[in-house]
Amino acid sequence: MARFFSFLRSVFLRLALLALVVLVFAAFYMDAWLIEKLNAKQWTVPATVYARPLEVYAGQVLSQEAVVNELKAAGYRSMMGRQAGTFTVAGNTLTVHLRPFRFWDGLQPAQSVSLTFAGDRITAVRSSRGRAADVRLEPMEIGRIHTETQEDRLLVRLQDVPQHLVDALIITEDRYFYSHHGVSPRAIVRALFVNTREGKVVEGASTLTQQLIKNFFLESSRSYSRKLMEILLAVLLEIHVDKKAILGAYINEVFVLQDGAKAIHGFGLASQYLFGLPVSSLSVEQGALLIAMLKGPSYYNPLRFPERALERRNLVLKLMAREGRLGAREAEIAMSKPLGLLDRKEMLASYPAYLDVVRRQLRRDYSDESLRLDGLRIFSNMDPQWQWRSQRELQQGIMQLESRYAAKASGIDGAVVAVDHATGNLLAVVGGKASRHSGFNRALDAKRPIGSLVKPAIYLAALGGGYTLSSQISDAEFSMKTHNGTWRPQNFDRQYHGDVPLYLALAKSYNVAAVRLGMTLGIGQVSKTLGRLGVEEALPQLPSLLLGAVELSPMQVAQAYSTIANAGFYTPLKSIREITDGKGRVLKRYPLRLEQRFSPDVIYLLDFALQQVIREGTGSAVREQFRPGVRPAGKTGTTNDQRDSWFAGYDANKSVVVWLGQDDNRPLPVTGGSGALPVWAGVIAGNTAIEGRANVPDNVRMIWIDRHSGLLSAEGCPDAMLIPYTAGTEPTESVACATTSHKVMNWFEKWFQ
Amino acid sequence: MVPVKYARHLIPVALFSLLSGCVSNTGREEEKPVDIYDQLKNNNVQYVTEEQVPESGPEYVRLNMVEARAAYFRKDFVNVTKYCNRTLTVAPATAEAYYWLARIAVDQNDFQQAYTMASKGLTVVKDPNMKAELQRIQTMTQMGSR
Repeated sequence: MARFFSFLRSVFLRLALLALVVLVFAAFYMDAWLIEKLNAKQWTVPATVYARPLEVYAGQVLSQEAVVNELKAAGYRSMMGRQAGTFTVAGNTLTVHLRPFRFWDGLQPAQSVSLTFAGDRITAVRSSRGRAADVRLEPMEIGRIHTETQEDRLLVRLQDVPQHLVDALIITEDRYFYSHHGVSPRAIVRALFVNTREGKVVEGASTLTQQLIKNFFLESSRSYSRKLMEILLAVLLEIHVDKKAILGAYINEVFVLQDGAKAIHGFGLASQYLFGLPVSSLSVEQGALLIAMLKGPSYYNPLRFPERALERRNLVLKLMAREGRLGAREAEIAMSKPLGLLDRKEMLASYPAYLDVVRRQLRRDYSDESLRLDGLRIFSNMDPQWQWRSQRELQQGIMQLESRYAAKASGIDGAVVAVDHATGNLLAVVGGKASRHSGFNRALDAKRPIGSLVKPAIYLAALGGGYTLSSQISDAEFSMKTHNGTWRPQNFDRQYHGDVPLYLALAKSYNVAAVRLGMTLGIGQVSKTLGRLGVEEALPQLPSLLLGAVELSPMQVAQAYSTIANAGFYTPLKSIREITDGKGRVLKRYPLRLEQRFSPDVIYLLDFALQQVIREGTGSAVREQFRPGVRPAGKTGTTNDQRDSWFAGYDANKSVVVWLGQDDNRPLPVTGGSGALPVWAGVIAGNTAIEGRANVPDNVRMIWIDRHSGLLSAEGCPDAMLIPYTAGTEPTESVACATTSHKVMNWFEKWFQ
Repeated sequence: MVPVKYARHLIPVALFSLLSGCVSNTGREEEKPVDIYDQLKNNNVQYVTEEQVPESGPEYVRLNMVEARAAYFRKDFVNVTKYCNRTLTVAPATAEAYYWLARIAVDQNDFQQAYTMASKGLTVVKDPNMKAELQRIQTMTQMGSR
């Protein structure tokens, strides 16, 4: 018997020794593995995209309501006090307590700014920092470009986290954090005791270190082997890093809540998301709510189950008071406060079409890897006022059509692109009437026949080739043989108008005149002109091109019309102005670059003709919507069977393109003038920038002519109108009404030129 | 020395010259453009904005241009661009903004861009001195010199 026990003892000792050796080897292996993972681990921090910052100045045309809307969208709250991230309205004075914000050109420190309004205008700007000329409101975040895992976080440092939040975390999740070495035997024993007493698992024993290991390095499967690994790695981790580092990692890694497809990790982003505040500004009860959610992010989601979340939050506050981390009175006050969540209506707005443009521009310059890991900050050109107005006008326009035309208008959708043509900045991109939802981006991807929008290219080619605005163009019946048979273009009114002045043919959008002129100039010439305007697309070299049988997206049309609007200077449209890394270093700028593609005098003439479209042509329905002094210009576009309704136009500094149509290409009950035009007018009439059109070029003269015959006339004569001509192309013959004094003045002027 | 006997033939020529000189110069002294470079350096340019609505904030534009000038003379091109772009967003007919962008392009030896910026400025310029300066940039960039 003794020998048997001796034998057993010997086997047991050998097995124990073997197990020890295996454990030691495993520990070494896992230690090496852990070190490698620690060195390689990078948080996936998505790139953040911001709208343009709102620069405010005295004399600016901007209403108080518009400023408040932007502040709310940037997460600012209306409340008394001077806390950063808040604003107050007192009559016609708006006081904003700006948070510090790192722009691409440096940090703008926190400051208080006071704006005084008179009607729709800012009359005074005062800053607590003195330099009122340089005040920019914090730009709103318009989206994030995520990783494949859809994790979203805002990295914060431990020292930025308030102590009460850390205390609440330790008390609730790992009360022995500072005394254990990765695993807490006391917590295990306690959990065993409580769970046995309750008859179910009500208390966990995992330390913060174990939770970090599980989330950071391991899969979420439940098995004994995984648990064993977790324990071992937790012990090893505590050997390699100190408690502060573990805590710092935890507060950035912990999963807090789900927002659709996006998983919000870390207290930094959770704080912004739920309260609109940086984590450093959280109050005791706000911090307690974040901690309360950790036990069950879905179950305690305050957006869906506010009562549950409130109850759990108060439990955390009671715990803090019991452990002496919070005074009894303080805890009572905190428990009496509501959840205090941000009103997410303003922040829920999403701009998928604009973000799509940003992504595509980024893809040209950055790999997907850099976008995922670097936490880039992308400052875009999106102007929230223009974006909101474009979305609103498109939606309202479509709704009105649906209510007027019922079944015929069901399924109508559209797109809007708004551009600051002096700088090429894309101000707004709307990809559909359901603008908040991502999906088919019609602004970029709906390539549709442009119809009469092509005509300015024909007339531009003509004006550059010796024609004048009063050149008589034939609108007589026209036909030609093609390989498909006889092609006989028709005007919209099914009539022919004989000889008409060039400007009128464009203003009234006569198809036949455009085709005749285009055929005379040559399709190649028209095609080349479209290319110079910025259309980078293979164009069909067919007569049908002259009636717009070429498919372009609204963005491509916007590029072309911006060149016209910008006095013949081409600048590529851009959605991004600057990109910085997470530390604020500028990685890329997108400066203004111009290319002069047309001479100013020819463009000036075309611009005049496009203004006539609004004054007396197919766009005249909206003429009265513009304030005096504004000279809008543009072109309607309607395709065959009215399948597309377009309007592309501009004023002194903004260009807007609107397209309406059905995705399945069914005919519309509207034309360019009755569909897209009112939407366009609603968008562009809100332009508040300082007017400033190009000068009359030096070699262009304004001459009185007879509007029908194109002959010289004089001021006061019937049917006389003032039309620009490049020097040397003015008509020489006059109508009878032209006065003698006019002829003498012309003679004198010729001598002294 | 012209012989006296031919002098009488010169009288009508002299009279004609005198008359044409009078007519062409009646009341209008041709103004030579002032070198605006020095004026800009000392910030004493009159900011003329005829087509701009006066109450829409030219003060903001003026302040931005003052900053742009100062930034240019300390060779801080990043800020020059910033202030010029800000101005053009609000007041696109500000020729001076194009002027500074053209000067930066010259300093960076991007003569094509300098010429284009100057050309754009010329489409909106009102001040004759600024106009002359923009034309000077056009000329010197065509010649490829500073």
